[in-house]
Amino acid sequence: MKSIMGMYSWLSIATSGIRFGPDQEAVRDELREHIEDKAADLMRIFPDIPEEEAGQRALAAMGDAWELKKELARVHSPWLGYLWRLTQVLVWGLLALSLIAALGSGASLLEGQAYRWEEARKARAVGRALYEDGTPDWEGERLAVYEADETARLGRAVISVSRGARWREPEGDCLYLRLRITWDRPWEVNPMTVSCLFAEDDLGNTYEINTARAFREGWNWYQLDLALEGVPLSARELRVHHELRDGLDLAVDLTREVVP
Amino acid sequence: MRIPDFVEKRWDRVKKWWDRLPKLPRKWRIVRNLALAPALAVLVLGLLEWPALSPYRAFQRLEGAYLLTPSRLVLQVERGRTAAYLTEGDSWVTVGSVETYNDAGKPLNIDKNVAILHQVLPKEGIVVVLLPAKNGSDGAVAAVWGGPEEGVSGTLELDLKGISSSHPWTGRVPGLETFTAQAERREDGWFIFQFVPHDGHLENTSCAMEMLLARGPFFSTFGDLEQPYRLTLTDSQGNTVAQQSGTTPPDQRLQKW
Repeated sequence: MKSIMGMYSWLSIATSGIRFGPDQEAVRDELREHIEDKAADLMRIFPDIPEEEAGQRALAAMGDAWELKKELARVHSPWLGYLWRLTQVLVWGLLALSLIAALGSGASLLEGQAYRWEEARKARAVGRALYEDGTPDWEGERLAVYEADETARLGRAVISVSRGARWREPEGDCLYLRLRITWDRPWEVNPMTVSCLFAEDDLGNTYEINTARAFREGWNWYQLDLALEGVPLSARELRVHHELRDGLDLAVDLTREVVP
Repeated sequence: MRIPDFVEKRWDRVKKWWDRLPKLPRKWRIVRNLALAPALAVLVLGLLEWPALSPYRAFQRLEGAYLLTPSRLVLQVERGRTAAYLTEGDSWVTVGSVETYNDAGKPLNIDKNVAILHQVLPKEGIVVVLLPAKNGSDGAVAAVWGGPEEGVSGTLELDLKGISSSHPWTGRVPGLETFTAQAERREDGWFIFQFVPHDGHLENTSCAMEMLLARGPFFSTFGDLEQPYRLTLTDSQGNTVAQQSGTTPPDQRLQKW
């Protein structure tokens, strides 16, 4: 019993220089196992030796606890341990927060994502029908496809027109343009922004941008296949402007026809 | 309460399995955690729908959404949980408001800042706008831009119609009241007019100014910001250099969808 008490007091002194708790405990366990192994060895070599004496000898062989304390304190810097603990708290805290946030809005976010996937699937099919050789699910005849690769920067976003096609539909002729707004900051993505844009042809006619055949939304962009009704065949150029401010003048050439 | 044996045994088995797993050295665990933290932070922010951390940031975000950047803050008026902002860009003027509310229905109910752009106007001629928040004396704040450079002082008169129909609990409101405020042109070219409500109303009668935006910009009617005015600009000698009358622009109510 005395040797056990001695061992624990020796261990306490020797490891007291280690300031990071979990490290102190691990070193303490390691030293204790070492002392116990040493005592067991002694008892195996000298079977007559009492257990208590074996313990005391094993402890004595470990050296001065105060000296070892200094050595262990020097080797075990606590900062790495503290940093590890801090990052652990951070990760677990964020995990808990994400769980709570998911409980609040996870279902609606998933629904929103499902809706976006469905719209993206539709938009791909519409895009193939409008500008390529896909089959449309509406009545109409493609008259021309235009090559367009126009880009302009406005505010913290880039506006681009990448495709154009002219269609004859039962309601009349329609010019489709694939317009995309890419925001530098994903939290500024806003589908309503397109309603602030308008188009103007080289004949002086203006067109509101309020109808689209399809739309898609990405993490920092919004794209739609605009439908501009009544653009005359004689119009050779279309320019997209911002209704509320200057600075946007995106020209689309309606003479560069390509084979779909 | 005693834990059943089979639970304890299972738990021991899990612990043993966990101990047998290869462990990363501490330095690599720190690296792993530091890499995980930003990913989780993005996840949390995404789940919270990217909250704006302050009313002004919410307003700036809406400006960015409508491609109305870069802009400069001209005036900010805060009253309770409502903040109004007046900003200007190269060719336009923006008036907006942000209402802060707490979504108590959600488990992680942080304050939400909902922004509205009330007016986006071209910088042409003389621009007169009414801000969608009131000053400390419960009076309206109006801002004027433009006019001849020699116009250094201005007088603005507002004719406020009593908005009594939607506020039956406030008692009677006078049909029409005229309020006058004066301002000097600031270095940035703006005149800021601070109005005060009228005193001396009869008992059970509210001042028309107090009724203006009484429910805050978010819930107020579209017409609240649209009020008749008369503006006079004078030079340093007191001579009139410009006069304009009309109605302050209507509420466009541009929001993020």
